[in-house]
Amino acid sequence: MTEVPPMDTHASALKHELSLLDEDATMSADRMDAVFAGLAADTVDKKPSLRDRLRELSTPVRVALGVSGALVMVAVMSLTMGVRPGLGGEALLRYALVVTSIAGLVAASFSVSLRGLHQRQLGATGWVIISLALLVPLALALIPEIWSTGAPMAMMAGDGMDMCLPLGLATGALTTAVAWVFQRQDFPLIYRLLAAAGGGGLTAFAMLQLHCPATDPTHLLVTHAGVGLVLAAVVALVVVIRQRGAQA
Amino acid sequence: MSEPTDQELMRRYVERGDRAAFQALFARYAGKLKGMFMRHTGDHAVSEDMVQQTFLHFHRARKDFSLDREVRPWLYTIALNVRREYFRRRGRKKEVQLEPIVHGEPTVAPSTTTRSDRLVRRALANLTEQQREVILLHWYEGMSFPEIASTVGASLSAVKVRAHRGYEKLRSQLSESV
Repeated sequence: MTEVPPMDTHASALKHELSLLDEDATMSADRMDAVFAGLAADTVDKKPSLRDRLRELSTPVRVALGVSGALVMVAVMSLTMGVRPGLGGEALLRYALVVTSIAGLVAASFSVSLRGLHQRQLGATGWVIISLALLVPLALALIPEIWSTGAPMAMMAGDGMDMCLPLGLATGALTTAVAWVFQRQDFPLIYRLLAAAGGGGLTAFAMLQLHCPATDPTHLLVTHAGVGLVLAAVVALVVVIRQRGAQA
Repeated sequence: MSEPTDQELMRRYVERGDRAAFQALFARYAGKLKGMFMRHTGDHAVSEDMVQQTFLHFHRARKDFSLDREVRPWLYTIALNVRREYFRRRGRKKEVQLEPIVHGEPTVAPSTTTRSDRLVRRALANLTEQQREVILLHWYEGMSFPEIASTVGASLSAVKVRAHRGYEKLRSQLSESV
């Protein structure tokens, strides 16, 4: 068996080669001052705006505030528009369980979206969470038993249900905007925005499920569960247009 | 009087928003960070921009800093993530420039252009990102393995394995090239 030399032997054998890349990265005092002046103008010398104050909060606080914003959105919409009929007893417990799980997934999405650069980046795990945030509503929409309350449908298809998509989009977009406000990057990478859109879509789905009495899987799939995907498509489009603009 | 430690400067900066402490930390690390970015981009302007971005995020994340931590690994974690995000914005192009050895012009002009430099750059570019990161921090930044582990968010043993494999691979590639 060939004996592998220890690491120090490898490292010292490479001393000459690796020293070829010793970059001369010295900055003159003037250059150092100029770079720092530019930096200070955006940081310590700047009167912080409201957004600066929000994005400079610690990461757990930013995530908690983002999730609270989503919960407030669901609560306000439910209070102003009312909840679906027959929501009590066993159905209420079932709904509570599902909405709590959705809130957990919103928290996970916002954690991906707002993860600080001082933290190890999540890589594939982040994409798994984003995919779950976008796809879980679709899966839930296909299981009508979860959403049954035993009460007869208060509305028939088309009876005010055409408002579901615009309402969902408005709720989802506002929740996505809440997550965006807490971003530390001026131009966040697409995965951060997709995670925010996923959280927005989940919030819209929970809000619509609490309000709309429909159990038709097609309606649930297209107008309730599809909000996250629509927001994700809009986010992707905006990022592509911005990148093309930057390259032009 | 002795120089204040990183921790002392960081405490003054985080607790009191002390501008002089922020500037002192910048003066202490800006050149080193620029050197690290230069090894990845070969471009002075881009490297200085990355230094600025690193300290911008350092400032925005200061409330996430726990005062009993070491400053350097924390700062370098931000720097490595700034670099990653920069390359992701550019569409996942190779992080270490792979200039042709015989002909053609590099996309980004390296600071030095001898054939040997390019062989070393090419050998580094052929390492996995994790191996390259560990070797650059160990060799050029003079970080200890525990510091590197804290910087890249991996276990000490994982970092040692990456370094060992990386150095081994570099040595074998460079001995083949010479």
